[in-house]
Amino acid sequence: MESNKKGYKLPLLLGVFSLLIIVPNFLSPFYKQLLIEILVFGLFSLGFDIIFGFTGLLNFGTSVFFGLGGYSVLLPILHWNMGVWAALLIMIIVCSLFSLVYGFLISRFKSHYFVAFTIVVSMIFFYIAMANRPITGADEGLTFKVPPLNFGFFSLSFNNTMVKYYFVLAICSIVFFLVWKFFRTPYGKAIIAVRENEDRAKMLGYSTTNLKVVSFTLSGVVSGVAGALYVLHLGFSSAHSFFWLWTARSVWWTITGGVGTLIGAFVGPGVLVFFEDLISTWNPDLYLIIMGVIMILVIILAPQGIVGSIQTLFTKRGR
Amino acid sequence: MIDAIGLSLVNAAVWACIIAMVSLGLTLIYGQLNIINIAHGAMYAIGAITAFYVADFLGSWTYSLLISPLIMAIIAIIIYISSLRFRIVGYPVAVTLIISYGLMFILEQLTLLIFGGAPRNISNPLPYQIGLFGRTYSVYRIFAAIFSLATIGALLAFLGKTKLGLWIRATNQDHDTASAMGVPVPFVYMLTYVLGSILAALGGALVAPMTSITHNMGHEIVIDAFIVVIVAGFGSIPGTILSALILSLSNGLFSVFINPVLAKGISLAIMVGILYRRPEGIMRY
Amino acid sequence: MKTRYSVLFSILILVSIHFIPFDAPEEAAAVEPIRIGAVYDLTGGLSVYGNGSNMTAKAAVERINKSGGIAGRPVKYIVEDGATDATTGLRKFRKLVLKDECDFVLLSCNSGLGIGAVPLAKELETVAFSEGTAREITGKKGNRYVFRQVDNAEMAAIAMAQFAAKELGKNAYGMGADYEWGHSVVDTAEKVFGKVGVKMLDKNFSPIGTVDFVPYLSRVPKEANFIVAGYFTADIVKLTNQAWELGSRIPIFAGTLQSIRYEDLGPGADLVWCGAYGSRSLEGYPLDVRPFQKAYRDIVGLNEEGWERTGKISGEYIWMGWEGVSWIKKGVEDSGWKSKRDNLKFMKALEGAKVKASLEFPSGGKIMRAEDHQVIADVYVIKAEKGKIVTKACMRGEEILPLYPPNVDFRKE
Repeated sequence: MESNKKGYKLPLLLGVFSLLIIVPNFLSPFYKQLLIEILVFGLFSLGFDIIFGFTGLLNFGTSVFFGLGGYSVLLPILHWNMGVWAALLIMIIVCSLFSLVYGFLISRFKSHYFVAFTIVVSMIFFYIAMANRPITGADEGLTFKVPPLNFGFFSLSFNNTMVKYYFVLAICSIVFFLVWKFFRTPYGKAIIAVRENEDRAKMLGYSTTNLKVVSFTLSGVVSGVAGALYVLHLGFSSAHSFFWLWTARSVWWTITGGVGTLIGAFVGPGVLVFFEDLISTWNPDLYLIIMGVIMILVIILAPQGIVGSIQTLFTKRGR
Repeated sequence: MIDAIGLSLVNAAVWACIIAMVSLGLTLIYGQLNIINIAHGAMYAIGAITAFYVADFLGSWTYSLLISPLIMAIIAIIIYISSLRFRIVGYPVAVTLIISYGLMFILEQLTLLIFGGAPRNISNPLPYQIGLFGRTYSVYRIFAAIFSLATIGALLAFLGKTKLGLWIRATNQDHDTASAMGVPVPFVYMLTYVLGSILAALGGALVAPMTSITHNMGHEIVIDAFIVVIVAGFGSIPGTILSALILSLSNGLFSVFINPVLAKGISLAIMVGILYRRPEGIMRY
Repeated sequence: MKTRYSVLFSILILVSIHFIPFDAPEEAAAVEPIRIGAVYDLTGGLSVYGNGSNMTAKAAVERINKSGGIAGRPVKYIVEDGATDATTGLRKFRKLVLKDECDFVLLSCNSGLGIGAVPLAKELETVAFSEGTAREITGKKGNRYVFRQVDNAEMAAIAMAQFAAKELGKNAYGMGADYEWGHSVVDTAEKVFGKVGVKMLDKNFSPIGTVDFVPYLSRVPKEANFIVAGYFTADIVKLTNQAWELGSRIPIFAGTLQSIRYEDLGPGADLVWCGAYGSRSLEGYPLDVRPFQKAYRDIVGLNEEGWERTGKISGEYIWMGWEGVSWIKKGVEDSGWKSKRDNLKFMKALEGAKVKASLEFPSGGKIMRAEDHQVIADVYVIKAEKGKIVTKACMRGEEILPLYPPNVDFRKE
């Protein structure tokens, strides 16, 4: 069974990856940048999938990481004239430290208090971001010029959509690969054990608190990277990136794609972003109503999401 | 200085009562059903908007104290029957949380389509002011606070002294035993959800004449209500009242001395601090 | 059973992607249409502005198409919802240009969107018109691609300043919503009123969505003669009512009264003033503008009191959609613009353009200033009085012009 699974997954992933490298060259500029968005949102949902799908903890405040990642890459570039790589480094340090401390503080809470705390923290962060106009630009935000990507002897400008695309694709692929590998290591599997049955994991000798903290930190950094990529893509960020609507999006994207499947985190936005654009153009009045209905239908009727359902289909046939 | 503090504390106390009532609705729903009702803000807005239409068509806002909860009850029953009741028992809290989220979007957008984006106002049903600490203060606000307290009292009486209240408490304690003893548990679940929603709608109807009515006014109250409920300890009624008092009074007190935005931030920080020390809530029951 | 649902559901979603028109087939048009896109806030807090501007812009396009289009080409109008969120608005801006191939874009009154759109307009090489009134959209944060078809908040403050000094008093107190526009109103009032001898005693800002203004109102010192209120829609209603209840009897100069009814301002309604970009009532317009304003109102469906049919949107601001379209028409026809390659010609044609009151510009004659692409137009002092919103005075564009020098020159780009 194990080898069977590995059998179809790897070539499938590689196939999709090669498509992602080649096909966008033939798409119109609009679809190029839509793909960029899908990749970024996929990464954001991946962060949520790590903590929720793999660790079993519901972090209902992922917008904190999204906003933090965005601002920690924007502010160094805007105020200290840093290059993209340096800013990204700062962002990773900031997000890691923050997620570590945050995770450490709340990992000892049992599930419901955990959720509650994440909700409260995200509301507070939104409030802080809105109340500090000089730093965050509050509601109307900050625009900035994204410097070119410096590789030493040559540099690539982000004005070129394909440069942006490959940059985002590269980062998403690397992160995805690292996370994928991580959950195959014994440590990663221990985290999954926490999801399955925390008490039993504890009895087996695992320090579940440590496992939760590590998972939380990983989740925070991944979502933070997504936030940073989004800001680099738009050349803009506002306090609105801390708004709970972003949390909702990461949740419904992951759930529609398939919780706990990693790829599902990308499939979700892949499908829904099209839908969202289509519907909001066709009827902006009904857009949120339809998304609300979809959310409810998916969670009740198809909680495994798209990838989860397909996987179940395969396993049934395999038998 | 004394004047400013006095006025601020009175105002804060008024809001504490109202927030306590609204938050109780949230607490009830969570304590009994394990549902984190994110749509609570939308229900508050529906209560206020219904009050507006009542005042507009019937000429007097007072009727809304009866009609808003009634309309909300009908809406809550529809919502509950069509979606939530399928996922009450045995499912992780994430499921009903997400359903609630979806509901929030639907309700808010519907209110925008029906009510429109322009703010409206209800003329003050009690247009009298009393002199207070050097300025004048609206008598209506004091009435709203008293009414909220009365509602809370009525709720406690209902829970403590009536058969339905007994059913609710029994189911809350142990739904299997309650069911075994003949309590119609599914009905109790729906009843609790409706009760919680009514409290939100009543809050909206009460606040409507004090402030303006917009389709998205739920956002104003939902953050405070959530923080109150979470710090109170899920399901704790006395905790909710105490929590509302702490949040509101600390905010009121600080905003006399410093910028109100900062004051709000500090009172939020205090709440987070309390939550951190006592994650199970302020009161242990 | 559940699995069956899940599978069915997922297949349904995957299959329906197939039906998404990846590239909508172009209707075989004999003449290539001019595409005007619009990002308006149809939902969210600014929906009364967005829906209003959308209505008038659509009406303008329909009227133009009936009489032969722009330079003989039909006009296609595509609107997207900015949802009162700058990030969403920017995404839609991109979509309008990249997917729908819009030649020009109208932007909503959301100043955040306006500011964020400035570099985007340049990147996408698309001329945009912004209705946002934060000063810097045609100032330090602007560029040659962006025009503004309405006066900005600072100009409104200038118009009000003379009036304030004469009618309202010498001591002001500033309150505002804590974002760019709210600050614009209060800070520019402080600066501009200061020049005519009105002192701003102090100011404070509240977060958007504040329910209770009592903590802020109780800070208003007794010596204040009037309050400058940089708030919009719901917050103004709350403020005026709560101020009265707290015992405040001084005038309130509001940043905007869009779609607010007299009744909703409460018992203290007669204290409310505003510097608006249009008169709500028809009779508030000067005689030379009035006939055109009446013709325009008849077309878009505004009555003499300034309300559209459903009674939810008022008319002071929504003419910007109509006139945005008119500027595009003027620019194209005056410069012979054929495609985006001619953008520079378009810009030059509008820089310094002067228009008279007409059906195309029913809110009055105005100048599109060359240096900063800012329109210089009339500002109306409106007041709530005895059941209506009446127009008390009008400061003409020519009077404002010398008092508002540009701080940039885009022609250098």
